Amino acid sequence: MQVIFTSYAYILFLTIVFFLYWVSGRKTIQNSILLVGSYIFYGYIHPWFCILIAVSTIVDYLCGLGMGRFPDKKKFLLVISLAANLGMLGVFKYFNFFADNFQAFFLKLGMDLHPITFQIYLPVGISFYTFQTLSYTIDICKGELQPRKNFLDFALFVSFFPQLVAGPIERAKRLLPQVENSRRWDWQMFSTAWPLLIRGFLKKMVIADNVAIFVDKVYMLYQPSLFLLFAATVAFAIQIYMDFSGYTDIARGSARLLGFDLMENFKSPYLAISPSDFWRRWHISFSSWIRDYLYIPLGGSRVKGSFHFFSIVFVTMGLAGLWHGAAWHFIWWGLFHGVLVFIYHKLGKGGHWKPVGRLKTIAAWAVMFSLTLFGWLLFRTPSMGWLYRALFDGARLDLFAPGGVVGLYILVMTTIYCIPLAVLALLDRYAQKIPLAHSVFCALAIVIIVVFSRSGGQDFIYFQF
Amino acid sequence: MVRQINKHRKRKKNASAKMVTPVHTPHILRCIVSLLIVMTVVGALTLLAGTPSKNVIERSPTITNRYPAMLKQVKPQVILLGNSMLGEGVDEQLFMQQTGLRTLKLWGGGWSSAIWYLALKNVIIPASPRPQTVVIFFRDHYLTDPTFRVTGEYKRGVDELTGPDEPLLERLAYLNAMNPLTYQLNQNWSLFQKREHLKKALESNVKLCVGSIYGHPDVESVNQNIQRLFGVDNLLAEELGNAQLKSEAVTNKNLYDFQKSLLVSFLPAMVEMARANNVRLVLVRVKRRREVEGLPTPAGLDGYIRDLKQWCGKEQVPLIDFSEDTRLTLEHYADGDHLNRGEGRTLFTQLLVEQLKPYLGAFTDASR
Repeated sequence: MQVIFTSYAYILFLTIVFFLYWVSGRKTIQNSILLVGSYIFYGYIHPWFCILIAVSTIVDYLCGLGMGRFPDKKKFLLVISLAANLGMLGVFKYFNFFADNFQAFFLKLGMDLHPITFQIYLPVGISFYTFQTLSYTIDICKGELQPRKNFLDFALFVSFFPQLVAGPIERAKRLLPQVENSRRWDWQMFSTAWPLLIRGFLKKMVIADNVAIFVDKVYMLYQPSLFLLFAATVAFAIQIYMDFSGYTDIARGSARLLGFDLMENFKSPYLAISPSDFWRRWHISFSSWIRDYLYIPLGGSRVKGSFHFFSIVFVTMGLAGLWHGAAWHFIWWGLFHGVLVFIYHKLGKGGHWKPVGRLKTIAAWAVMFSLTLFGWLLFRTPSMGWLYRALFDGARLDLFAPGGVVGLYILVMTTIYCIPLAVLALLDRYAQKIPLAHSVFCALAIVIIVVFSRSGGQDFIYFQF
Repeated sequence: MVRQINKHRKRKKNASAKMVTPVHTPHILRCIVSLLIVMTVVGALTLLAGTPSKNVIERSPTITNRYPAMLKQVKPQVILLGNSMLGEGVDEQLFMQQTGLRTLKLWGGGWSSAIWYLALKNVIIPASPRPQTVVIFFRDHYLTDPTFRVTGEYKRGVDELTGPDEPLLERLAYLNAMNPLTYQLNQNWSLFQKREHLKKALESNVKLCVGSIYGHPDVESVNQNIQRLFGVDNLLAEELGNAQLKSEAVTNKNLYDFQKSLLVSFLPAMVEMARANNVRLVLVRVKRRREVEGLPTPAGLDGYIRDLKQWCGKEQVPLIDFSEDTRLTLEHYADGDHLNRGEGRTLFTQLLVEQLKPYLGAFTDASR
C-alpha cells in the first residue's frame, strides 16, 4: 500500500497537510506538521522504512555536529557518515545482487557456495535520501556548509515528503535555508503550483501509464522483431521521461503549495546534442550530484591523460548506472553513457560543445537521440541475453504483419498520447506570457486526465531506484 | 526613544505593505481568472457530453455475447469455468473421453470472479438444457476479489457477458472499489462516465488507420495481429510471472481476510444461484508455479484458504485443492502459472477427472 502521488490517498493527504500547515502559521509548528506528515507518507508504505530514514537522519545530524565541534576529526566523521549511509544502501539495495554474482562467479570456478541472501523489500527512495543526506555531511567536511543544531529542521530536510521517494535530490545548501526560514502565504507560489500539478498528472497518468502497456508487452516477448523493438524503445523513452518528469512536476507543485521551491530536474533532455548536454538536461539533481561528489573529487575535471580520464568517466558512469538498480543492464547502461562521454570528449565535442549551423545541429541531435534510444534499450532489457537474441540471434525486421502492424500501432498511439505535451511545449515557447492560453490548456488537461488516465495505473518507475 | 521605535515600526509596516500589495494582487486575480477559465472550459465540455447516464458502468454497445450460441450447439453437461490457467491446463477432449460427459470450457485470458458470476447468471443458468455441473477454477483469493480485472483491457470480457441490468455487478465490482471522489465523478459527471467509450473510440480509429495502411481497413485485423503477437507462447515465462506478481501486489490489500471478503464478493450469489437452479457447483484451486517452486505463500493466504474450505464445507460446496498435489512438478509448467500443453495438460486433466469423479458420478450414470 503506498501513498503514491497519483492516488486519491495522496490528494487527501496533501489537502489535510496543506490546511493544517497554513493554519498553524508559526514556522516550528509548520515544520513539525511537515515532519510528521513526511513520516506518515513514508511509513504508510512500510512502517519500518521510517526506522531506516530516522537512523540515517540521526547519524548525519550527529556527524554534522561532531564536524563542527571537532574540526580535526572531520574526515573520520565523514567516513562514519559514508559507511552508515552507503552501508544501508548496500545492504538493502545491492546485497542480494552481489551475493548472487559472487555465487555465480565461484560456481564457474567449480565451487558451489551458498551466500546468505535477504528476502526484504527495497525501501523506496533510499537512493534518493541517502544521496541528499550525504551531500550535507560532505559539504560540511569541505567547509561549504555550517552544521545545523536544530534537529527538527534537519530531519525535515532529509524526509520532506514531496521529494522523499524520487527526488529531486536537493542539496543541503539549497533546501535547508528554505526549511529554516519562515514561510508566508504567497499567491505567486500558489498560482504556479497547480499548473505544475496538472502537468505532472497529465504526464504520468495519461502518457506514461498508457504507453507503458505497449512497452511492457513488447519487452515481455521472447524475441520481438527489430521494428517492434524500435517502436517499443521509442515508447519507453517517452514513458520513462514522462514518468519521472511527471513525478518531479508533482513534487515541485506540492512543495510550492507549502512555500518551498524545489529545483528543476529536466530540461528537454531529448533535444540534447551530445552526451554531456544530455546529462545537463536529464535528472539534473542526480547528474550534478555525481559530478560534484564523485567525478570532480576523482579528478575528472583536471586529468590530462586519456586512460586516466577514461577510467574516471567509466567508474563514475558505471556507478551512476548501478545507482538505478541492482542489475547488470543498469550498469551496462551507465558504462555505455560513460563510453559516449569519453568518445565525444576525445573528438573535441565534450563539455559545452555546440555545432555551427542548423544542419549540423540537427545531425548532432539525430545521432545523440539514436544513441539515447540505444541506451534505453540497455536500460529496459529484461536481460543481456534477451537483448543479444533480439538484436543478433536470428533477428528480423518484420515490417509486415503481425510485428509491423503492432509496431506501427504502438508508434501512432505513443505519438497521439504525446500531443498534449507538444502543445504544452509550444505554449511554453511561444505563449509564455499569455496566462489565458495556459489556463485553457490546464482545463483541457484536466479533462484529458479524467478521460484518458489508465485505470489501475502503475507505480512511478523511479520509486525503485 | 519610544517614539523612534514606533516610527521605525510604522515605517517597516508601511514598507512591508507596499511590498506585499503590488506583488500579490495580480496573482490573486490571475488565480481567480484561471479558475474561472478552467470551470468554463470543463463546464462547456461537460455540457457537450450530455447529462450523466443512470447506468453506473458504461458498456460497449458493439460487443455481443457469443457464449449462449456455443452452449446451444454443444449442450454441455459440464461447464469448466476459469481463466487462462484452465484454458492452458485442461484438455477438453480428454476430459470428455474420461468422464463421458459433454463438456465445454468457458474461459478467457484474465477472467476473474466478476466474469464467472456473469457467465453463470447470464449464460449457464438460462441455457436449455441447463448444464448439470459447473466447475470454477481459481487461484489464491481471487474467488472473492470482485474488483480484480474488471477495468481497462479486461472490461471487454465483462461487457460481453453483462446483461441489461446488473446491480450486483455494479455494486461489487465497481462502486465498492471507488474512492469517494471517483464515486461522485462516476455518478455525476458525464465525461467521466464516457471515458471507456472515448478511449475505445480513439483506439479503434487508430487501429482502423493502421489496418488501412496494411490493406486491411478494419479494427479486427489489427486486434488479431495483437493477439497473435502477444500469445502466451511468444512471451517470456519469467517476465510474465513477474508481471503477474506485480499486478497482484498492487491489488492485494486486505483481501486475505476471508470473512470480510466474502461479504463483498460474488461467491455467495453464485452458490445461491446454482443451488436454486439445481446446478452443482464445484470449486477447484489450481496449483501455481510458486507452490511448485516451494516459494513462500503470501502472509495471510493460508488462513484465507482454511476459512474458505470451512465455509465451503458448511455450504456443501465441494472444493478440490491442487496446490499441494506433488504429482504436478516444475516440468509440467510452460510459463508463469500456465501448464504446458503436452504432459502438463494431460496430467492435470487426468488428475482433475480423478478428483471430480465423486461429484460427476451421479450425472455420468444418468447421462448414460
